[in-house]
Amino acid sequence: MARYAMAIDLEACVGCAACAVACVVENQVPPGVNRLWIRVTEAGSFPNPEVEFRPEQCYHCENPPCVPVCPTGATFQTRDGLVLVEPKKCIACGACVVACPYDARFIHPDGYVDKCTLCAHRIAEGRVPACVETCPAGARVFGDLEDEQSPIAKALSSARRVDVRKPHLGTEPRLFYLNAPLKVGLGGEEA
Amino acid sequence: MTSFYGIPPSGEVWHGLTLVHFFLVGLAGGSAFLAALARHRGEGAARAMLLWSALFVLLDLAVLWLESAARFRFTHVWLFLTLRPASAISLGAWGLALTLLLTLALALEKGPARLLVPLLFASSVVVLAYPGMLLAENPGRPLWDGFQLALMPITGLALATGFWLLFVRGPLPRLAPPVFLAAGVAALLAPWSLAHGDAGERAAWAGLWQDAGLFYLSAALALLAAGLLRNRPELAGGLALLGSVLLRSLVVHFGQ
Repeated sequence: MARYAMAIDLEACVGCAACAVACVVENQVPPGVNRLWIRVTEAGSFPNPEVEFRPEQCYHCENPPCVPVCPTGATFQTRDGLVLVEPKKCIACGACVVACPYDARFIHPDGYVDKCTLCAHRIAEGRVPACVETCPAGARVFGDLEDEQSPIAKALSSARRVDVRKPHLGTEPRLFYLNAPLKVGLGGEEA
Repeated sequence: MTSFYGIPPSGEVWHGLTLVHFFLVGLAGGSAFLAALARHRGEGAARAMLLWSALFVLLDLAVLWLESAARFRFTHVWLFLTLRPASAISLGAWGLALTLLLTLALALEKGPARLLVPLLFASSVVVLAYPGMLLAENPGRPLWDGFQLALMPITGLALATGFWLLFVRGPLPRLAPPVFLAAGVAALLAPWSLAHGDAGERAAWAGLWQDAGLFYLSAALALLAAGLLRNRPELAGGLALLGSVLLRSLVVHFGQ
């Protein structure tokens, strides 16, 4: 059984937002909402200013707080670890939106909850998510954590620093941030 | 400095109608509980209370439907095709539906009261309790800590007791003062619980206090005063109703 995950090398990310655009195009995300966005954090001062571009999206947590609160089972976790929403069952009660500590979910204008699926439809075809394929800096890596030869396993083992957001909540996100130049919002309280 | 390309999507999910729901669900659950008590004691007002409770449940269900972005997709049927005990909304949906059926059955004297009254007690407790469960199960919303499991049921009961005291002079006057006092004490203990929590919980309380501390304190004091006004039932009822509604609205609104 695969355990899909993603990693983003924040040292490589230049904040071009190609991933965000690719996500919108691939998934027909309507205007006004986003499955993926980029947090830009500036710190320090002249002559040593620093900036960090941090793409954020659903983290497909190992222990997703959004799943048990769903009253209809519309939100569920696949055996591969993807956290998905079945629109036909969703009543848009907002329980999962509120339960997500990463604010990764939203109510789609068509009346159901939506969020990043890690491009599950592409994974099913053996392809990588659109954001990974698009990233011109090669900052995004996707793969199976169970496979030691997968790109993500190699990236995690070679990174100088690996973070997840809000680790104290015990959600065990499956999107890892590598080599974060700033520590703001990682490993502790949010900025 | 932090800025964004694209907007983090969530923001406020629950709006004004959600606050109306939190009012109505407390009124419905509390009224059904009191109606079950009145029916158990054989009080004359029991039938009217049962019918009003059914109406409150219907109103609450209507508000829930109205506030839903999926109201014309009719996916709500899925709520009753499954029961998911870990989901507060699933429990609440079943609790509200059962309470509606039981109050109507008892009011119309259909079915054995010896069985239906205990069932109504149980379903009304579920209706009173599930809003607190709904809030407490969100790890990323520190204002909604585990204390909501106590605060929401007791303020719901105080809300309904206040309503009945204010508008119908209440068939259960001796119950009111301890309920109001308990709600007032719970309102004061809630910030104490947050103050002894983690940094996020302390910051959440500080935020609420800064933006609406006076309103929160007023609500808590109104509940305590209602519990002490034994000889002024209408005033006590009004204070309890107002205090409970204000308190629940503040907690829900600022918790997001």
